[in-house]
Amino acid sequence: MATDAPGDPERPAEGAANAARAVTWHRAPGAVWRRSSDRTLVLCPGHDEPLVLSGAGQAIWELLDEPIGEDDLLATLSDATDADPDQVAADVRAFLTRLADEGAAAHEGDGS
Amino acid sequence: VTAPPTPDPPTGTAAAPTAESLLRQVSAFGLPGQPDRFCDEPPEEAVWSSLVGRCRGQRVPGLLLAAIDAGALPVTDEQRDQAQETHLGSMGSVLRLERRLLEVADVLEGAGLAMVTLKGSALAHLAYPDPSWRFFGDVDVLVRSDELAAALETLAAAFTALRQVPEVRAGYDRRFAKSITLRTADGLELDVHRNLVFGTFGFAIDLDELFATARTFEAGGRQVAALGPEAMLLHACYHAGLGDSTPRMNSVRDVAQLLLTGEHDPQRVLAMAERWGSLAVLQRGITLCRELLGIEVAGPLADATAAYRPSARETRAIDSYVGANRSHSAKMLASLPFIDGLGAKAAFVGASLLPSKGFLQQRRGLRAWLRKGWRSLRRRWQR
Repeated sequence: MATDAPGDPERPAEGAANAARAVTWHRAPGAVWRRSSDRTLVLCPGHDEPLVLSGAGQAIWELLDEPIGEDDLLATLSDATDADPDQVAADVRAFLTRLADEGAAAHEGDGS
Repeated sequence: VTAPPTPDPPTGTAAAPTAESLLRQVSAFGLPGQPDRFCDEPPEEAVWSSLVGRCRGQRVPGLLLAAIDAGALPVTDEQRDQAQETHLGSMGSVLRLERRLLEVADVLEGAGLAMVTLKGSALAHLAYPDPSWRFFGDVDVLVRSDELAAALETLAAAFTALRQVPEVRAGYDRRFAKSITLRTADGLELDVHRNLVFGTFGFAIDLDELFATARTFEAGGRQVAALGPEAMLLHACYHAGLGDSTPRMNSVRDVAQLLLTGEHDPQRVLAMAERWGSLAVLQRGITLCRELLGIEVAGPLADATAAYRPSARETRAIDSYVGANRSHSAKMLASLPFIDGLGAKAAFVGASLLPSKGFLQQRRGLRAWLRKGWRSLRRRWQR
């Protein structure tokens, strides 16, 4: 399975894109990973094949190296792109949700 | 240990590089003192094809991709894609093994059994600047001799794993074995070690010290035990120096990586090597770095081992692993001078010469076992 960029068109982001939420994201315990040049492989608990991240997906994985508040994550990514901040937020939240569904990432705090 | 600048760096720019020369440069890529660029043009297709195959066989696909990304090895787009595909495949395998290591650590620690990771993940995370540079093909863990049987039983139950070779004789594993290989239901190999090397030099290793000096690395969000810096360097020398007559490039690279960038204290390494009687093995590790990677090493460890003259028993011991007449029987014979006490020598010889029925059945009977041992001994005596 490959995840090239945040924002899965088949998985729309939940809730308002710009709502402030006290959520801290981090890599899930048990998820092991390796960098391979412009891609990152993440083997999640319960899966036999690694998730392949690239582009912004790879950048988000790097930012999850330490637990990071969702607002800080969004601010860092928004600063790095000219795209509409609301759209970035929606895409990133959708991507984080997918990482959580796959078992690669987890969060604490109010994610609703 | 420092790597002095090479007076005449082998840049490879004068003549078209061969797969062999590129493999050596790839295997040394990223070490201090190595050239920034191997050649000026992408390798010819035949050379490239051979190089990729060799990098796979020598377990250095991570170094190949890293050298390409750093611009040290110019390649075509197609060649780069091929290198990355090779690397992605190898890392998929590595990740499955690393996850298994975490499961093994959970199981053993949950059962109250101490373990230390050997090679593989431990080297990848602790020795290399990027763990993706280090490929590995199995999971190796060290357990205490008196907990070996419990560890094997616990792991066999947890992973539906089968032992590949029966115990030579009751009590042999706990006293003399280097490692026992379990194959899990999903086909992964799990090597459960009680020592770093079979026979000879292994008798002098302080196995308790391996646990007392252990440190940890992080993988999958948990801490996993690994050898301390000094023991890790000596283990890399045992593995590269006593494993195969011509070791894999990744094993020699481990030695070079640890020698040149490791966190060890050279004086502690020398003290440990003296206590363990392994100065000859350390010397061989440094020699292999020079001969196979073409790198120069300098510093206290290189100085101390350069002046060291291995004894006859050490030379015979090394020969029994990597010489022309290497064999299990040769290792057994070469081990005798390393064992203190007649009783212990007799126990070792007895257990090795008189294996159990179950062991012999797997090795095609007593006659085949004795015939093989006899042929091996005759080869040694006739030298």
